[in-house]
Amino acid sequence: MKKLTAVTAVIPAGCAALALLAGCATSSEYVDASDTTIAVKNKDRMSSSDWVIISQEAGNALLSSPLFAEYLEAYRIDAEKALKKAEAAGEELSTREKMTAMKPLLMLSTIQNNTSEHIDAKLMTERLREVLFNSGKVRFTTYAAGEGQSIDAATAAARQLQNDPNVKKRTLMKKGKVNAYDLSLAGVIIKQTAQDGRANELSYTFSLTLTDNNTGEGVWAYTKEIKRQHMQGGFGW
Amino acid sequence: MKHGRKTLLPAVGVLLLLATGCQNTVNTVENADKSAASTTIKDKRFVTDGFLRNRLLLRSVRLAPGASGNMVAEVAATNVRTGFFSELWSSLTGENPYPVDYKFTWQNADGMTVETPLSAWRTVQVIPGETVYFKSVAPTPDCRDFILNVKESE
Repeated sequence: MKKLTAVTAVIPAGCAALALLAGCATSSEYVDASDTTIAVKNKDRMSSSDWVIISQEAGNALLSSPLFAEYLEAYRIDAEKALKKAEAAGEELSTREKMTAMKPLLMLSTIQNNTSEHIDAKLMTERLREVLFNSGKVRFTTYAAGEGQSIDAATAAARQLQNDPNVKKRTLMKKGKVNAYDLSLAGVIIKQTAQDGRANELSYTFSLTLTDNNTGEGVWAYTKEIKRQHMQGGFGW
Repeated sequence: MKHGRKTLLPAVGVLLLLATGCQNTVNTVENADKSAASTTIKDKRFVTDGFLRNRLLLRSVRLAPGASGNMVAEVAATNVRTGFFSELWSSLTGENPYPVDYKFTWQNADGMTVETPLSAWRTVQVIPGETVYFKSVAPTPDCRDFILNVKESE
């Protein structure tokens, strides 16, 4: 009888202990970063899925914009004429320059943050730059950028190697070779919130503009609002 | 008993009439004589979810070059779960509106898929009777083929 009691007490107790341990265990697994359907969303600020959505929407809009296509075609025609003129004048052009001169040079300018949050707009601009560059429509520069965007100091630093006696002179970067940019991508992010009882709403409006820096004229403009709603639970905060 | 039947049947009838009047489906109006060029293409479907196939009817698959020269794909689908009992069931199961996830994948001239920030799983809510348009632009000019994945949201 005593043995039976020990068995009937130990087994359930052991199962209960295992169940508790399983519940206390933390697990970590990789998920698809571009999957906005399973992403955890913040109730009161930007989430990673918001950046994925705006990058996708803006990228699609840019690549299908007839006005931007018109600008690219006009740029290609002017660039071809300028290239022929430069060659006729005896200017030395690199192979790379001849291959890519028909595409405008894009610079990432400032994305104004009109929200109370700390937002790193590079989460959107870097993706858009990747989309544009991989589409073959533009080149991009890392020599110049707006506030909050990345600049690669290596281009300027390469020119300092002239003072280093260990560096082969033939391989040194020459001055006057950096290309000036033609296009800049700028924008603004605006946040709005609304609350009605337990219903909460959070929206971000992204307004993006591509500017032809030669004339100061806008060649593409895009506005997109991302809105999320959630219902506060009856208990808790 | 006779009195009970006399009041019960009309009451049920009134309730059913009220319920059918409370449907929230989408009616559409469009011009019958279309002037746009036809860009509909033949499509190949691989169905593993019959419920989704029956509920979200794929109406057309279009593929045409966009303004920039990159291909643009658009698939139109309609939520055909209209009618009193269908909507009632959908409401009870939390599927009115019907949440659906979708993702476009583009393939280049070699048939290889192209990784791009333009390819991401997205959710869309489809009201009964509503037609939604899944649309995507190819990331590169040599992408000519695409695959659209659609599934019910969890």
